[in-house]
Order: sequence, then structure tokens, then C-alpha cells
Amino acid sequence: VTEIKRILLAEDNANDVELTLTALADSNLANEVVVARDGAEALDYLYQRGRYAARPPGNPAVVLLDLKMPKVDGLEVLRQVKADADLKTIPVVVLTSSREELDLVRSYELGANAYVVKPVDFHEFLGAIKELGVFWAVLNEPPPGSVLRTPG
Amino acid sequence: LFESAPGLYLVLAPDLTIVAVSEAYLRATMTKRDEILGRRLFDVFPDNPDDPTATGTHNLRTSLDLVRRDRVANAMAIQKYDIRRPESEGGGFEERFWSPLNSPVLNANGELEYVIHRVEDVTEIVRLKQLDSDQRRLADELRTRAEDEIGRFFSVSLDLLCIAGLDGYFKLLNPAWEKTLGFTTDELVSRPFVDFVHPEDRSRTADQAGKLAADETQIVDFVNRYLCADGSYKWLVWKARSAHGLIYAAARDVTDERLAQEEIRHLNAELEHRVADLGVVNKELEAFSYSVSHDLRAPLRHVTGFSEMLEKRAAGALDDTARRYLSTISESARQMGRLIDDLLSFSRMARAEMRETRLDLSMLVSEVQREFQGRIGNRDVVWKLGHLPHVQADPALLRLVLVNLISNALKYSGMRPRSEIEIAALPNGSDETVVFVRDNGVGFDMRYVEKLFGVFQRLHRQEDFEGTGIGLANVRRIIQRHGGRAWAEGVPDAGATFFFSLPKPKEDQA
Repeated sequence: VTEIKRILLAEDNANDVELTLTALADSNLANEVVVARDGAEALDYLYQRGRYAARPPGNPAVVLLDLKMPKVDGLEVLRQVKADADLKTIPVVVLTSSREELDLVRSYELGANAYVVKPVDFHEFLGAIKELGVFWAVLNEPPPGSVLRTPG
Repeated sequence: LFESAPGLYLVLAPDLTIVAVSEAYLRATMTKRDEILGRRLFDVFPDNPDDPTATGTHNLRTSLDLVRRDRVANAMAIQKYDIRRPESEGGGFEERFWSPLNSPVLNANGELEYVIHRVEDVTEIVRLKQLDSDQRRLADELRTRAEDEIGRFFSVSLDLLCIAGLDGYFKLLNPAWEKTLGFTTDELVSRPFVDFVHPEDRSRTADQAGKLAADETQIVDFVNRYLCADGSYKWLVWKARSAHGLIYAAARDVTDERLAQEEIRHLNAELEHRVADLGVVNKELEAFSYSVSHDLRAPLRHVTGFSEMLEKRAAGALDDTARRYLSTISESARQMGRLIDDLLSFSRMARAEMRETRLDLSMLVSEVQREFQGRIGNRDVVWKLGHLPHVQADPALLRLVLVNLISNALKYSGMRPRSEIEIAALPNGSDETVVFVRDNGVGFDMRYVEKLFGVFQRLHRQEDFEGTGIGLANVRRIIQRHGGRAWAEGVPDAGATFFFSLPKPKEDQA
């Protein structure tokens, strides 16, 4: 039985998606990364509905959440996740360009587990993603139910 | 029998020799029978020599002469005829008033036999009357004087004084009315006073007048507008009371105060409006900062990220020039990132909430200085820290000021074999504390001093001294938010001194 810890990346910007995926790949993390391109998609994934209705069950090990997204923004996703008894134990890392203190405060108020400002410098960015991935997807012992057992 | 008659009688012979007298007469004139009988009347009763206006003997003689000539009775008007007081009772004369009647007594032949002089002593009555009229005169005089005084006050009063009838007309106005409104008194009394009241104030004014007319009451602080001859209106504040069917009122011209108040109200309204506008602008600025923070940083990250990835992937295929281009792209993007971050911090600085407390500036300075000391490695830096007072400031923001100024001092004195940095306060000012940070660095030309504090304004090339040029702009903004000033003095190649002032808390002011 192999345990694969899945990462949900909620990010609307294609460049950021590519940079983040590159950084995660660079970190040699074997985790599956699911990309949701807006807040609504992220919620669909978490609630197993819409195009994710048939996805394998189980919660992701961590959600990397951008704040400024179309349709449903990151703070709203965070609010719903932390208000839901089944989802609230999922670690949520806010990964955003915003240095605004208000966003930071609101994120923590809503129960974010970490708040990371994406560094402009690529090396720093790589470092940050690597640390995040290693900590939340590997070192952190996820709550029960977030582990996907794949046959093998 | 005659002698004991109750009246005052004197019987005179035609030659005015006293031939008989009643007891009552003797008592009234303080004389004795044996002293006056047989003597001439005017010898016994002369005029009071101390009264130069005495007319007693003259009038009596005239009356007696008429009686003797015409042989008919003669009633005299009330006479003042003073009576000699006996020496035994102090001498001199006593003031007396008499009402005399002289009657002839004729014999059978119709010849004059006697003249009977009958008098009534009316001294008491005259005195009472005199007293009465004296009092009346005194009262009249007092009243006149009081009226004069009231009249004088009435005419000199700066306030508008008036008496109005319940018929709605002014009855009496002091000169202040003419002066204040520009109408003559004649004009003012010729029309109902409400005609002069501003149309919008008329019904209120009529209400008040009605209240005064209804019963004797008092009205204070009633305000209305009165028409002036030039068509403008004056604001009057009234105090009035009614009595005896008249309204007594005093008004004060408060037009200037009123206009000043109006002006203040107007300014306040405008200020509130501006503040509201400012709130909107601030909100917009916040939204702007947010989008700068988020939207401008993302593409920069992409520029650096993708150029790094390109370099990694194609490094072998690129020559040195191409690699230099790539690194310039990355470096520029990073610089832009710094600029954006600085701009945001500057805008945050303006909005950050301030929490002012009493701070030990000496402690704060040495704390910041120790931090820098740890970072400057083996550079030779001489610190001169003077005595610094306590100040009232936000600790985090003031720390930022010191970090900026000390970091500048270190940066711009970096080329000296030995940096000298002095931090101290100027000798005591009465209402503000002035702190300076002085270095022995490159200094600057005073012509450009104002550029120092501008956002992203720099006096040195990026290659010579790194930095975005936000530090001093932040310093000035923070100090200004504390109610102080920030300024600088410098000489090219001879160091610079940066000053900032902070207002002293009220209790510390000398």
C-alpha cells in the first residue's frame, strides 16, 4: 500500500501555476498536484462535485490557496473550508502576491495555517515552495481521511 | 367775659392803642396783659428784624387803614407775622402764620369807636402744608433726576432699547436704533414694528409679542432679524418684559457673531465634506495599493521566474552576452520589486494607525545602534551618542526613522577609513525636542536639499549607493504624522546632518 499525499493548488494565473509546479517538481516531491483555476473549482474539488464529482475520495494533504481569483476568491474558499466540519482539518497555506496586512489578518482570522507571500525573486520562490511542499506534504502528519490509498 | 372768650381778640382804639385783649390772644402771642394794654399795636408787635422779607406790619397797617377809612370789615389773607419770644424763653422771634379779620365798631353816630382785630393762629396748618409741598417737591425732584438718569442711560446704551405698545407700535426708542438700523425714529414709530421684522421671523415675533401681551411675563434669548434702511437685515437677540400694558425690551445686535458662526458652520460643513472626500480617496488609494501589491508583483515574478528557467534550460546554448542580458532582466525585475515594496510601505506608513507612548529615546537609539553594529562587520565606526530625552511617539514608527537615518549615515560614510556618527538632541527647546544624526560621509549640496525627502528622489547614482530613495520620504512622513518636522544640512564631501523634531507632551513643556 503506497500512500500518496495529494496537493490542491488553487491558482488562476497560468504562469504562476507553471512556476509553482516547476518548483514543486524541483523539490522532487512525488505528490500528485491538482490544479483548480478559480475558487469555484477549488470548492468543487473539495466537495467532490461538478467535474470532480467522480474523483477518488479523500481530502488533500494541503491546499495552496491564491487569494485573488475569479468567481470565488481565496478568502471565501478559506471561509467555507474552515466552516465545514469535514474540511476544516485540511491545512490551508495562503500563497499570494499580496503583502497587504489586511489580507494577512483576515486569512489568519479565517483559520489559515500559514501565509506566504510569493517572492519576486525566482530562487527565493523556489525555496519557499520547496519548504512548503516538504513541510505540509511530507513532514506534516495529515489528519485522518486526507490519505488516499491507491491499490498497488 | 370778653377776656375769657375762646377766640383771639384784640380791641384797638382808633389810634391803634391796645385797649383790650383776650386770654387766648395773650397765650398765642406770648404776651401779658399789663405789658401790652395802653401801648401802640406796632410797638408791641414789630416785624421780625431777622426776616428782611417780613410784610406783617405793612399788610396789617394797610388793612387797619382801610377799616378806619371805610368803616367796613377787612379780612386779610394768611399772613406770616413773627412773634417776639420773651427773653425768659430764649428771646428772638418765632415764626407764626395768622388769618386775621379786622372789624370796625361804630358808635350811634356812625363814628369809629374801636377796631376789633380777630386772628386765628394757622401756623400749624401752614407748616403742615409747607411740609407736604416740600415733600412733594423733593419727590418730584428725585423723580425728575431718576428720569434724567434713565434718559441718559437710555440714550448712551449700545443696546437697542424700546418701549412698545400692545397696539404693535414702538412708543419710545433710544438712539441706538437709528444707528443700528439706519431708519429714523420717526420712520420706526410710524409703522407696526413687525413690518421691520424679516418675513420669515414675523410669525415667531408675533407669537412672542402675543405672549407678552397676554400676561406680565418675561422673554429672554429670543432672536429675530430686523430690516435696515439699506435693505439688509440685522440679527437681534431680545430680552423683554411687559408691564402696565407696555412692552419693555432690549435688543442686542449679534449680526457679526451670527455671521462668524455661520462662517464657522460653513467651514465645518466644507471640512466634513473634504474629510469624506479624503476618506473616499483613501479607500481608492487602498484599492490601488492592493492592486499594485498583487497585480504588479505577479508579472515581475514571472519575468524573473521564466528568465531563470530559460537560463537553466538553455545555458549551454547561450554566449556570455546573452547570459548577461538574462541576468540584467532578472536584476531589473528584482529592482522593480523593491520599488513596489517600498512604495507600498510608504503608502502603508501614511495609513498605519499610530499608538503614541512615552519612549526612552536613548534606549531606542542604542538598541538600533547595536543592531547595526552587528551587521557592519569590521568597519571602523565611531559612535557618539549624546543624551536623549523621553519623547511621545509610536515606538515602531520612530524606530523606523532611526533605522533609516542611521542606515543612511553608515551607507554614505562607507568610503571613509573611519565613519563618525553622532546622535544627540539639540539643547532644550521649550515646546519640541530636536534630535539629529550626523555623519562624516559624502554630504550633499544644499541646493538639492528638498529632493532628499521626495519619494524615489536620489542625489546619488544607483551604482554609487544602492537604495530606492524611499527612506527619507518615510522619515519625513512619519515625523509629520507626529506633528514634527524633518530637515537636513550638508556640505559636499563634508558630511550631512539630519534633524527631526517632535512636539513635547504638554506636561513636559517648559
